[in-house]
Amino acid sequence: MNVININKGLDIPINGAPSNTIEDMSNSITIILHPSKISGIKPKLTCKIDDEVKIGTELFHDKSDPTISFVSNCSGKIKNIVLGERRALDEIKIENDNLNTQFKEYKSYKSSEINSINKDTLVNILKESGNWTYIRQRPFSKIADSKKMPKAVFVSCFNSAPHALNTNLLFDNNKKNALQTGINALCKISGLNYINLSIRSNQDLNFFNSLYNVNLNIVNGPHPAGNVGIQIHKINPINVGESIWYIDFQDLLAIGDFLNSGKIINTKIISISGEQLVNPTHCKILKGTVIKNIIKDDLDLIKSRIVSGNILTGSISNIERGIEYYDSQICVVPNNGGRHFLGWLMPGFDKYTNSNTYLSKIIKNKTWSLNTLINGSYRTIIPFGYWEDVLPLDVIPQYLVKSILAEDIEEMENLGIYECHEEDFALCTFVCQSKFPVQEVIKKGLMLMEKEV
Amino acid sequence: MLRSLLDSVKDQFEKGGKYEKFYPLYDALDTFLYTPSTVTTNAPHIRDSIDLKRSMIFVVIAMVPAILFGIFNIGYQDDSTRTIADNFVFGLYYAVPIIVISYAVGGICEVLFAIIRKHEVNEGFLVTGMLIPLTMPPDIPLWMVAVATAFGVIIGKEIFGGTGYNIFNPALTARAFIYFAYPSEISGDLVWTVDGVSTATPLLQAASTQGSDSLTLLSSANYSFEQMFFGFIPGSIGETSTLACLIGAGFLLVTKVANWRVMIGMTSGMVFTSIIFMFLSPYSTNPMLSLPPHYHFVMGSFAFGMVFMATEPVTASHTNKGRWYYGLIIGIMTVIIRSINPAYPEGVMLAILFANAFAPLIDYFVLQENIKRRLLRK
Repeated sequence: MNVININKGLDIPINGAPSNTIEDMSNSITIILHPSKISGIKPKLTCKIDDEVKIGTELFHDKSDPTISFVSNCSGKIKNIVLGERRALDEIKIENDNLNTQFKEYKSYKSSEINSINKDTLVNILKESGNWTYIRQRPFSKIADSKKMPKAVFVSCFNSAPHALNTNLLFDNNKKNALQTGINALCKISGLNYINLSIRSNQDLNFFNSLYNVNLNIVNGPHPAGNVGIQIHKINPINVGESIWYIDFQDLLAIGDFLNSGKIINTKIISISGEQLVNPTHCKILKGTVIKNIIKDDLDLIKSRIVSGNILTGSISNIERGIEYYDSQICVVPNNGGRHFLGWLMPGFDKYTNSNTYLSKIIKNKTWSLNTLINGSYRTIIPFGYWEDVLPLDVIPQYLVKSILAEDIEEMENLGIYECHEEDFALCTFVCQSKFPVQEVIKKGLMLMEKEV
Repeated sequence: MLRSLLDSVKDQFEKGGKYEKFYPLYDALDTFLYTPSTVTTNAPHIRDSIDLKRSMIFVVIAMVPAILFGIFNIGYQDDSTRTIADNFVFGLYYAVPIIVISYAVGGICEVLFAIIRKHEVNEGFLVTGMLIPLTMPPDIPLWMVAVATAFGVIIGKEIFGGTGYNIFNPALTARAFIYFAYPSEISGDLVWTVDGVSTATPLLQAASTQGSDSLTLLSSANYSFEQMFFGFIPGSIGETSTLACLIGAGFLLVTKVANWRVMIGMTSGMVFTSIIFMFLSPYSTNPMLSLPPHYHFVMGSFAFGMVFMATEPVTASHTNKGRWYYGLIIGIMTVIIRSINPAYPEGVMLAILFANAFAPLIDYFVLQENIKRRLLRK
């Protein structure tokens, strides 16, 4: 067991944190999937409007690997399919009949039986049932390639992003079997003897210690300590030509549950947060539930922005859209905050900052109201060193960004682009006084790199 | 009311409007008066409250003690028997025109370039416009201030693309320009003249007689350590009081606007080199070699340069490790230039410009080390 202490980073204290209760909302009528928003795949539609679907019916697959299925999470009827620009598959809308019938029955396995299954059989079961899509790889964060074995597998058992899903709500001792099954399955398909689990010191150490085939790491520190990319960097960094698989803790449990029971897990627990919500909480939803079925508050839609994912890395959404494929969080952010007279000169008791330039800094233990204003103007990069203070990577962000802007592939590779993921740089953008979009530039760099490789 | 007035004329400055070209000017005024209304279009959806205006104005606030003391000191050096208020008023008479000229000329250059090059009016000039007067002797002809400011802003900054792209500190470029272009007119650190009264600055005094000891030379001219620390000595407007600079340093460090690595690095470099020189001094007739580190710290513009010039983030190293080396180089070079080069009694300005030129090279080595570390761990 390793203990890793991360000093750099920032926990932003925002109003509207979710409570630790779970509301059941898994009987939603409308499910919407947004295939074109899933990064790293080219979706090929395999269903049409008015088709009857069941849980596990394939809706679309990845063109580059047709065996990777994306399946329906409810039984019902396909109401609508929307194609966007250049026939991108923007939306598949399914009406749930709440009968919960499954397309195909799968065999159930005990955790001890996993090792005796043929590897290819196991891979095929996971691919066919849609569970393979949750296993992703770095660099580039796309769905894992079953033909190329990774050098390690990582699972972060906690989230550190603001108002993120509290993973402690996902498991108790009854889930141990499912988790062990999932772990064994990952070991089997990756050909590795163990997988890396990262927990925080406030999590149930005994529970995790009793698992097998696991290299347990305790990671302490502020956000982004919970990001799997940071943990990979600290524990087993990616070098040129290597790949690492990772999966969300909740999805790992779902795979374990699926193999244990033979039933596809079509629900997930998400957090909903934001100061405009009456009751920010956790809830259990069908995967892909339309947001208006989750957030029932009477929101002023002009004065609030709905974000699928966390407030630092999520994407702009609206109540008519479904929650994005990999997201387990929805947050509502106040949109705009008005203009203030001579704001740059005021003491700023009400303005949150990580720098020490507003007097709000002396107020401790308070949560703040943050809105979508960039609180300044776009400027050229002035290296005050704020980025480095919130980036726990052994990467020099100033120069990595410059090499990306110059599209210097070799320099990007030298400076460690493979270890980067845009979500790890979100805080750099947050704290930047020049409001420089570090995150977007890193994303662009990764895209350039991927094309090149 | 002001808000509605600004909003009502906004469309005339936007694309297709009558005064489209002057949008940078409108934008500067608009965002100066009211916080901008720009919202995020992408993740992260929220942003920190800090912006460049805030950072830059904090540097100016940090200079306030140095400005106030500098103004007072102009009067005090002229006639120490006057009251504090009288000294201050006397000083204002000299300092205000220099500050006004610097801001006016620099502001015009900045706005002109913003309009021609179509970039925003950058807040960096708030700092440069105040730094330039503080590095000037009070008796400087105003036209020289104007020419130097224009040179500093245009050659030091704008031709590279504006704030964020410059290699040399614009305020130091302006200072260096005057130093080399008008050596006979501007006495700078050498001699202080207000109303025809000339006094040698401590640095010149300490280096004045070969074969003597710098501390003896200083005390023979009645310069004590305390006097130099508090700043009751002749020199450029803002540099004389180490105490005032240190108050500014404290403010910049507490607010995290300036990087502490540069300041500590620079002080360490100076202490290290001056101690070595002290050991060498018995073997030389150069009086400056015997000057102990704490005297180096309070003399000339060491503190001023360390707090306000060396920490300028764009022209310093851009990596945390590099900032240490960058500071060290300035500290070492300052003492070397002060002690060994008889032509330039004040080394801080040249040392910082020298380190500015080497900052990219320092970063290059830091990067190579990072790259090597990455390759080795395979």
